[in-house]
Amino acid sequence: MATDIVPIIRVGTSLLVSLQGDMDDEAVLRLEGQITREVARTRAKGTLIDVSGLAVVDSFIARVISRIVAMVRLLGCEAVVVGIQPAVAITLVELGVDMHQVHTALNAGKGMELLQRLQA
Amino acid sequence: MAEKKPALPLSEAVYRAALERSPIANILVTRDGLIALVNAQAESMFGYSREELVGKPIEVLVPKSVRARHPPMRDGYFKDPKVRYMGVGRDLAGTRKDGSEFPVEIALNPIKTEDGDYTMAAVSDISERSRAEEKFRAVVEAAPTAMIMINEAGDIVLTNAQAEKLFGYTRNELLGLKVDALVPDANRKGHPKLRDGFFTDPRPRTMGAGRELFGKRKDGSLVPVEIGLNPIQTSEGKFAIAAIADITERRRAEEKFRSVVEAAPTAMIMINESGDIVLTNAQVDKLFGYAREELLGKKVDMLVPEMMRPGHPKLRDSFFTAPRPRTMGAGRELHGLRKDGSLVPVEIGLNPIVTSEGRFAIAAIADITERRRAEEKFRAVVESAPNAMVMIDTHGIIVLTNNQAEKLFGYQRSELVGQAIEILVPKRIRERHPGLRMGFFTDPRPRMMGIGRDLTGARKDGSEFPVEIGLNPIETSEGRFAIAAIADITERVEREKLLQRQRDEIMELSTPVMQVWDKVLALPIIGTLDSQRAARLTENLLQKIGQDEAEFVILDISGVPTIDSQVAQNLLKTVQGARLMGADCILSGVRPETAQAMVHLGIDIGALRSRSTMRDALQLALALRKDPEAVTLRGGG
Repeated sequence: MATDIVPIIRVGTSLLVSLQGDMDDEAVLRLEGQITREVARTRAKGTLIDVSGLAVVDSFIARVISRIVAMVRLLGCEAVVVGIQPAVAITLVELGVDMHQVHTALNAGKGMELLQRLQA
Repeated sequence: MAEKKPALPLSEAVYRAALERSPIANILVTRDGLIALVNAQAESMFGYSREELVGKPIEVLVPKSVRARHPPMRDGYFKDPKVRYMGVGRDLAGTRKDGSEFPVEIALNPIKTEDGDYTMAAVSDISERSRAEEKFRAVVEAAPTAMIMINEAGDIVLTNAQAEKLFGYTRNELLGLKVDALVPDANRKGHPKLRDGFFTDPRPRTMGAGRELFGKRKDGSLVPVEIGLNPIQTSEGKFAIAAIADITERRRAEEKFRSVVEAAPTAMIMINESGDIVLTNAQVDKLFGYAREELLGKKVDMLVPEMMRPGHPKLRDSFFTAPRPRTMGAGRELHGLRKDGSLVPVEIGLNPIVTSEGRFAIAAIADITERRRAEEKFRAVVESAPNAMVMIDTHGIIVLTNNQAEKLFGYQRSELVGQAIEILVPKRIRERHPGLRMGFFTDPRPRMMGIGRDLTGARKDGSEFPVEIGLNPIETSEGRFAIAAIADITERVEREKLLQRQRDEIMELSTPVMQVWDKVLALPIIGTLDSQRAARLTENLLQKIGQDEAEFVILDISGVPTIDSQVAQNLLKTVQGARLMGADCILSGVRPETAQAMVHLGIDIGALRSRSTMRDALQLALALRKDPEAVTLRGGG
């Protein structure tokens, strides 16, 4: 299935992906496909993944986000994850999810700044 | 064949041509027994050239053993010459020039000519046919069952070693007997007629269909047998071949089967395709109250309650149309009818049995009165339980509930039983629930539902309330079930909330987060940092990071008396949490003892920056804010 899961907005050389609602396992997996295709198609230099709209971020989704970041990097594109809420941050730390190599920022604005610095 | 009109002078050329083409060896013999003429086939059959034969006595071609007797027989023939086969019933042989012999068949034709009387002998080499016969004999001999071939008169003409063994006669004794000698005395008189019947309508079939057959041995004893009959049509007439199997063993197996059935702990009834009871056991007598003789030969339907009886024969038939082991009346309550008219609750397993005597069904009937009673008891226990209880099957359908459950959820019992359990689950989780349910049934063991999560029940009016649910799997003969004990924990939750609120307030006081600069927060930690406090502290800090859009956090631990590995772990978790929110942490106030302790404990702080004083830490934070490149040198666990 190549259905689009989320809207992806292009801002300059960056892509803005905003994850929303309650994503089931299958949707999350399809998301990987959509984002990697889009990055390759637009030759984006940066990808901003906003997770503030997600109802639940559990270890599975966290791992998927780590994976997406790794995939996007392999496509020559920097990635920043923004909008992790306090409760989510605590959960991820408690679960021991390794988000070590993922760049994070508080919100989309700061995330874009960080992306620009990373691309410089 | 050559022409043989006596008065007609034969043209030698035509005659020879006709002879030469024949596939049969033709030999013309004079009244004196001299060979007058042979054809090519005769030359090749006997291995002589024509010149060697013509003029010689015919006896050169006769085997030595009978050569002396041959001339008189020859004379006899010329005295009464007619067309016939030589030596009927005896095995004839010819002798080749090299002395070897071979089986032959010889037809004789008298020929009268102007020159005198001749006889034309037509000789066929029947080695091939003999060989086929040999083969047939060998097959019969090698057959694993006793075989006896008889002719139309009932004489035994062929038999094998198995037959010798079975009947205790030697082969020669058997070959001299009428087959009727092997029939038990009681049936012998009628046998010839039955034999004749077979020859009138010869086709392969089993003898005495359905009846028990016996063979009579030489010593007079009888052996139970099964006999297959096959007609054989040959040039020598009609024959019947009987394959006779000794079924003593099978009889014994049947006996064994009967004794197994008899010894079975459950009632067992075997019926034939028409529903007649053919076998029962002692348990049946006990269960139904009939004596065995009262049941054997009767229709099994007599044990079916009157209400169900009219439909039963049809059900029986349907079992025989698709016979496979199964439980009768799946899901329905079955009853047996006793002799005294009372009903007994039963469970019935059906098994098809195919035998050479036809198809049967064997029913194992278990009296489940006790089980019914246990079920009643179980229902009573559930009913009187202090908690709400709901029992579901593997499809999630409610099969049993109690008064407490009615009260708790606000439904009538009739509104619950038969419904999916999801009726009691809040709408927002309803879709996910069947999956969870199935998860329980794949690994059924007693456990609490949704450990660590807050569970909610939904009342009929849509309101929700917190619950605690214990799950228990139940295995029954009717399948797997789960029973859920549901406790309303509203009060407890309220109490816990109040307690938590109070605790929070105290915590709040002990974990102050200050904004010391634009985008820089400071968190001075004073006192021991246990897990609970660390969690609270982290939560507060992360909230504050969000509110103030902080990019740096100074964690001051100068007020922490001792750092052990637990405290250090908690600190690192706080650092990681802040990082996920996009804020970098700087540690400050690390005292020399603390530094030693941390290194000795093997605590890896990773790239986390540390300064000795709050002042230095703030300076670093401000420097990092100015130098964006430094951002990539991240701290954190």
